[in-house]
Amino acid sequence: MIIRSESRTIRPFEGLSAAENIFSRTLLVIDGKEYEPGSLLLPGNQVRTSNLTIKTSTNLKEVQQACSDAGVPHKSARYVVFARSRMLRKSTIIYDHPVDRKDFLESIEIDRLAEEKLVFGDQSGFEISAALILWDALDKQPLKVSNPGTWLGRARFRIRPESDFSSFSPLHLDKPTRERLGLREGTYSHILIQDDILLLEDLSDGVQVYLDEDVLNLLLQDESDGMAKAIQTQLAVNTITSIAQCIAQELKASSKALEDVSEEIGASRFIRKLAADSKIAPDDLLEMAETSPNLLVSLVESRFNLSNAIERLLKEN
Amino acid sequence: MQYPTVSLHSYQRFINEYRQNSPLRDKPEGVLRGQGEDPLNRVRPELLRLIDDWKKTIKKIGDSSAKKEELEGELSSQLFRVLESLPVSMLTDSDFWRYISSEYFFEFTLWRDGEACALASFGASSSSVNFDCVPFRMFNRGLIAFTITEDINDLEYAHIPGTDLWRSHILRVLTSYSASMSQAILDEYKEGKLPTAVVRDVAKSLRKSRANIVFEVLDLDQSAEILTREISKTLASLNR
Repeated sequence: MIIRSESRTIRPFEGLSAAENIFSRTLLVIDGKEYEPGSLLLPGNQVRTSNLTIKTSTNLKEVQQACSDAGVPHKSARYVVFARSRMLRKSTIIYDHPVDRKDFLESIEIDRLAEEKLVFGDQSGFEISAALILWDALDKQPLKVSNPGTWLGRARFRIRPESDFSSFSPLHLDKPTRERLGLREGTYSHILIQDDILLLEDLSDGVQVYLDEDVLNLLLQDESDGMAKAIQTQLAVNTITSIAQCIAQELKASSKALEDVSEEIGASRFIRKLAADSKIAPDDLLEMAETSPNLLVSLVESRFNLSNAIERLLKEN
Repeated sequence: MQYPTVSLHSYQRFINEYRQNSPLRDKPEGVLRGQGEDPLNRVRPELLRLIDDWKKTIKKIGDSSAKKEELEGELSSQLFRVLESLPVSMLTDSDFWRYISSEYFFEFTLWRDGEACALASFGASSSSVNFDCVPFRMFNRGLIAFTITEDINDLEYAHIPGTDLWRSHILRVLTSYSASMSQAILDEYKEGKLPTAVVRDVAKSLRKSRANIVFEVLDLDQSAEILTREISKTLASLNR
């Protein structure tokens, strides 16, 4: 007998559309420029020193209405802004405002010097979230939020440095590395993907891209050279398609759909971003990766024919 | 400010040479990043003392994996105390952790994770170090303990042994951003209420709960309640 198990992340609540609508409008203002939720690549010095403000794009009346729609008493909910270091296991709550209190800030300035240094001093980046959260336990009722900590709506901003070495920057492929990886002499490139890729929050932790050391040294001498760009582009296309194929295979092997994988997992974000950029459905992209890899290569080549566009995509995920 | 760093490539090359018993091998030289005073110089004597203490202790504990785990826990709190005063820009630079690994923790890593351990144990498997890197995971273990107690003199939580618990269910997952949930897990584990046989399933359930619940805002009672519920559900599903 074949037993097929499935698990899905579900939000089994009703009345959340007003809250979701509020947080779809939330913006992060960085040195005066507004950004929508998602991954943001910034110059390194801006990651370390920029002025940050959460622009809620809402008001207390609207937030209270969102709580009422969800069946949550105003006194039991809070508008919260919190942040996490990317590299260290440290988080901090920057702002938590009871929804029944009047002095709601529509713009929340983040004082980086006063806030947790292990979060905002992380030169590899950090994540800021704004959320409307149920603060107290409520009586359990069908389709109603009841557990404290449950978010009604949320916006997340992942800030990373542009020179993010933890992305898919190629590593040197030299003789000892070839031997260690079991590759033959003369191997020009290699993409190593860990088999626990569906568990990794940061996809780059599980993907290593190797390039022949002489070629890589030449590339590093002048990355703007035409040949260097072509090599980078080809390597990026190979990397993207290999990762997509690996994710498709792992999903199939574990009898999971993409919806089963939390958005906190890098593989989920990667597939969704690639699908959105390619203007196809994520499930169609996965099917293509599994059944027609050559078509996937063509798709990636046609969609990302500029190396900087590919590099941006890689770094964001 | 300046501080020493070791690049991924030079460290990988050294490890390869070490494993091939190359007579030419030299520890990778630390390359200074930045200018001015090096804050690491202030704590180098304490780092050396920590490693000396470890060398003295290993003679007593032999090759027992449980004892090794205990010692890693104790050294985690000491390492955190030594390094926590360093600038965050150093502590969040992977090349700095590779320096710490190569200069002070190379032999310790081989002892702890085994001679044939993965490059990740040295922080040398990818550009960014992850929680398999021995000194980096030890520092974060101390950091989590400090976040729980907020008392630098009380880092007992870091001493709770449990290699798999720490690596797979605390350090590597987002759950550990929540001090209260980390504390609840460690309390239950220490008291034997989170048996090793169910910890994996409970951690999986917590991951699912995390999709809807922001653990960072919970107090200890709330975290403990969620954890207890998940443990009960898991035990019931296993008919225990």
